[in-house]
Amino acid sequence: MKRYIVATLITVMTACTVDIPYTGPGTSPMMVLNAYSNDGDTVWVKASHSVFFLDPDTASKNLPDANVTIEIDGVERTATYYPHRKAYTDGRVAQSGNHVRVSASHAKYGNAYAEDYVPIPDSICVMSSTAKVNDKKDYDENYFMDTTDSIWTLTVSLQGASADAHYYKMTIIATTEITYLKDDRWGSPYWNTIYDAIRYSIHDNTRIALGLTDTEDIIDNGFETEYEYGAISFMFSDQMLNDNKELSFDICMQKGYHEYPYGFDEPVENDTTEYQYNYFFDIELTTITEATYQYLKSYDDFEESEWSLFSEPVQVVGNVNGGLGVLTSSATHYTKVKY
Amino acid sequence: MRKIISVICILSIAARCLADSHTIRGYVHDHQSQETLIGATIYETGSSMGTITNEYGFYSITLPDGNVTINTGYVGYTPRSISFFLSADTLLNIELSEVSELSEVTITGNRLDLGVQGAQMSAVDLPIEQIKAVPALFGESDVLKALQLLPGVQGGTEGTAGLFVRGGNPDENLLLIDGVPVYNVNHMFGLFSTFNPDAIKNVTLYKGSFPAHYCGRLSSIVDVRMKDGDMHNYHGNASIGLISSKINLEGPIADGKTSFNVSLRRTYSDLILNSAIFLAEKLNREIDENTSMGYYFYDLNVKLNHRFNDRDRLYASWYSGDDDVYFTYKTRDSYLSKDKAKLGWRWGNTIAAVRWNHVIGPRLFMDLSANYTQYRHRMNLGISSEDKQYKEIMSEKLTMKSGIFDETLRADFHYSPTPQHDIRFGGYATHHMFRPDVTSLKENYSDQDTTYTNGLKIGQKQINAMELQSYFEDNLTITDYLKADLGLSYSLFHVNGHTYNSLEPRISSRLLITDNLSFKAGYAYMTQYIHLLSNNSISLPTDLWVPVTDKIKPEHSHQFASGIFYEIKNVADLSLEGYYKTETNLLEYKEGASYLSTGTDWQDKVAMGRGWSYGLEFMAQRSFGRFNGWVSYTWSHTQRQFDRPGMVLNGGKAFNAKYDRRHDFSITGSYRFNDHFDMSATWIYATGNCGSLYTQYYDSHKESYYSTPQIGYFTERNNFRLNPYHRLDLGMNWHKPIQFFNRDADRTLNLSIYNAYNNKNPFLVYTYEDSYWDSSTNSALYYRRLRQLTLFPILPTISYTISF
Repeated sequence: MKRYIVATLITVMTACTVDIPYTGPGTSPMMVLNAYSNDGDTVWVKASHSVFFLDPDTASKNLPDANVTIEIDGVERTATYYPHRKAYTDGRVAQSGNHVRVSASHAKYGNAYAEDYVPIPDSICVMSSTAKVNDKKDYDENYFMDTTDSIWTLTVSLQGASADAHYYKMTIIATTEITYLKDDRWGSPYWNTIYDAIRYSIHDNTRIALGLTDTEDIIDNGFETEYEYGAISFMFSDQMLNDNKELSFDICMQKGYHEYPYGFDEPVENDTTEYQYNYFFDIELTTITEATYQYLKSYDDFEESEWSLFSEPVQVVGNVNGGLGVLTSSATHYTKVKY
Repeated sequence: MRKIISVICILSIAARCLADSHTIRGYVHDHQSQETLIGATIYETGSSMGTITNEYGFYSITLPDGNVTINTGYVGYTPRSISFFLSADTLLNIELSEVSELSEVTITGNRLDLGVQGAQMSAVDLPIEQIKAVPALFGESDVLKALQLLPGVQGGTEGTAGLFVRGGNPDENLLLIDGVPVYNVNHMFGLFSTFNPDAIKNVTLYKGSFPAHYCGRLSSIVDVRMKDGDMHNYHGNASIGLISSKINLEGPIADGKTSFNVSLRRTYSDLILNSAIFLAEKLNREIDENTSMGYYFYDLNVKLNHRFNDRDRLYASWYSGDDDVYFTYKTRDSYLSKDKAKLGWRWGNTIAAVRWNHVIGPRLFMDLSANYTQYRHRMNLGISSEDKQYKEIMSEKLTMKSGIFDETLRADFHYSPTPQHDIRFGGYATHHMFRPDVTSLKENYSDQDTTYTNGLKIGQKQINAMELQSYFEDNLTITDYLKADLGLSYSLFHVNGHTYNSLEPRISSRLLITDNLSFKAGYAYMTQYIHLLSNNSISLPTDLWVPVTDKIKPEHSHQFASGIFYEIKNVADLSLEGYYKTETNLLEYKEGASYLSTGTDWQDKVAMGRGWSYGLEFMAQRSFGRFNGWVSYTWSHTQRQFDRPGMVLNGGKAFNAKYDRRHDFSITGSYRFNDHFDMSATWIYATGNCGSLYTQYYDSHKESYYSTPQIGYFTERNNFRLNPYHRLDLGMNWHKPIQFFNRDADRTLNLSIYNAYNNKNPFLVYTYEDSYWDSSTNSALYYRRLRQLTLFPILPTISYTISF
């Protein structure tokens, strides 16, 4: 008897989970289109289907047997499936100002389409750049980073943006060109020029430089105050800017590190007699459509929420009618800034 | 000129009326303890005029000269009738004696102002004995969990003390201890509330038609009053349970003049755990570490009450409560090294109030108070190590702190010029100091050659704000059948150079159809200037109170309610109410945002939107006699919509609120069989909570050689509803008279069973993935299931109490 009582108690106290059926809406798989119409690039369309969350995710979701058409400025053509890219194209290249419409139909997953205009690329002009060596005092009243060597303030102006709302993705890549001025120390050419990443960050208190009286934290660079190697990208809308269309960035710099392939980095020596340093920022300004902006923004939020236990769920905003996914449209302008 | 003459005439008539009448005033007390009784009914038979005692047990009634018969009643007390000839203003302090619970029913139930006769609606008064009788989780009676059983009030996640009143969020409830706000009412992440039932005299909940002297929140007021303390005798009780122990003492400091009431509650799981760790370390000599860890919370309530004379009283009340999580670790000192680690995580409230009651005249009562309330949260994490051989010392310390601090001066006046008017007016000034989250990190290192210190501090500056409020309200008797509570409140909030103000009309009216049947209707406009940044699912100590800003506007609500109230004489009070409430500038975290994401200003994490809620509430309450309890049922619907540019949630479409539940039913009852045994039971049924569940997954635009990231999709926010929730709780008490330190005492053995039939109620659901080996295909087959987790199965608990 005692044994049964113990067994019953253990069962009661531990059996706290039970499998339940899902009886709500949204059980049917849907057509998914992921299409790209970027200025100067071939239009590609990926057709796939979504999977009910309780189905084991083992089968391929691509749809090589869909009927996909691409329409550019009213000229519609059937697209061909290319297995190596798992995507459809008719080979045409999108240009700024084109109206692009992609559609797909499938016997099982129905019809879906998306359309957008390829934007005209806006450019930027560097208005000013200043650098100051960090004196290790509070950088922003109550925030300080003792690892910052210098703070670079870069002000750029958007060129060509009209009165309408424009959306952008800006990517900044910092590089240091380090040239070894002397002969190789071991008798053979060692490392004439090193293009090396600088650890840097765009401060999260990046502000609009002109126009607004209040300081506004409008740019979510996604990295906040962390130091990053390589590129930093962020998206913004020029609705948040004033008429001057100017942006300024406070970029916290840390002295460059040589990146070695075997896992240990070596600080760049501060020896100007032996090395010559040239600092560059490569700035890519990608003009994107509003639909693309909403999708990328919500996708970033979705990715972030996946890592947080307490985040509210995110619905990624697409522009596909009758299905899921996105037709992204963009045009990019490149600028190189040297300090 | 004509107007002036009219006014003079009216004043003359009023003065003449008053000249032929006089005022009876005084306090209503418990006969034995001299504890003042809140909401006691004062009723004069001949004139059919009546009033009730206020929060301090004071009443004032003006009656025509002549023979008067004053009847006084209070729930659980024997009514008392006093007749005399009224020819002058009279001081009449009335003492009532508790009725034996086994005697015949002699009085009716609800308070005069809240039941059939009163104009106030959408309010419930819960006697503390009834709250204590409700069977509780881990045997810990809890005020807020008892309130969750009332119509229109929903609990959040199972086991937690969150309140969702008429579709409102948890931060829309103003919880008051002796009139002072409590900002964090949760212990143990919401499993228990900070209100220790042993220290409490009375609990009143307002869900709508708010009296004008309450303001600052949209959805409810929970007015908790602490016991004053026995003026004549020392007594108390002590109890020991599975989770905590409590002790309550009260008695006179100066007989009949000054009294005290002290209550202390503390959990002790940490003491047990540390004893076990200590023993293990002692028994095992190979362990060269000292470790200490645990969690506890405590509440300390102290109240002093001094009666100078019949006109003046002074109250001082103090509450302090903290939750503490701690962990310390250190290696035993050796010749080589020494390591230490320490975690201290502490949060809690401190409340202090000093109150002076003064009877200015027969018809005018004044309450002046100065009070202070704070909620603070602090986490310290420190590690250090010392290498004695190389003389190397390293230490790091992380500190996180946040809080809110209020200082308030308040004056309230209660004026009863004629039997037709019961007027209150007054106001307060509060200085708020918000300390949003501040994190600092310090690092020290030293060895034989170098010493350095690093520091990092992230956070926002403290914010000071000023809140002013003034109000006027009149409980007006228009005719014998028609009564109305008319009120107007004006508030002003100043923060960071921005000033907001709000004029809030309130009305609650009653039409008496028969002696025991009335119809009531009410309207209230409310404004809220401070918000709690919180996750709805669980209360965390990191939840932040923040003020309105230039971007974040005050929240407003309009609430209309009407209902029918019926009293079955000497049986129960019944009510059926309907309400419609709209709210604007509600805050919710934006999609993907949470309070754990750092770096971004909190204002950028939240969206402002609106909400609306409507429902029907039924309640049958019996507050007296051997058998008492209540039945409550709520049908309601609550939705939210966030469609402002940059603050869009759910594509701008309306969606169900997280705790939108169509049906909520509960029945609570207790029965006293005899002096030795009583029993109570509660059964609850509720529609399941809503949640957002990704039902489809699809490829994102990103591609990599190995895989394509997946995106989750749901048809709309809160698209999934958990299974309905129901459970039965039982409580049994065995009483026995005993001798305790040569005093007559009573011991009570309590057995509580939570979730008696072990229903697997949903706490959360998650997707579970596993595989099995299929021998026919000789491969692993994967499957996914939706799995429901139940937090509390059947939980029997036992406690032992001595009352002396």
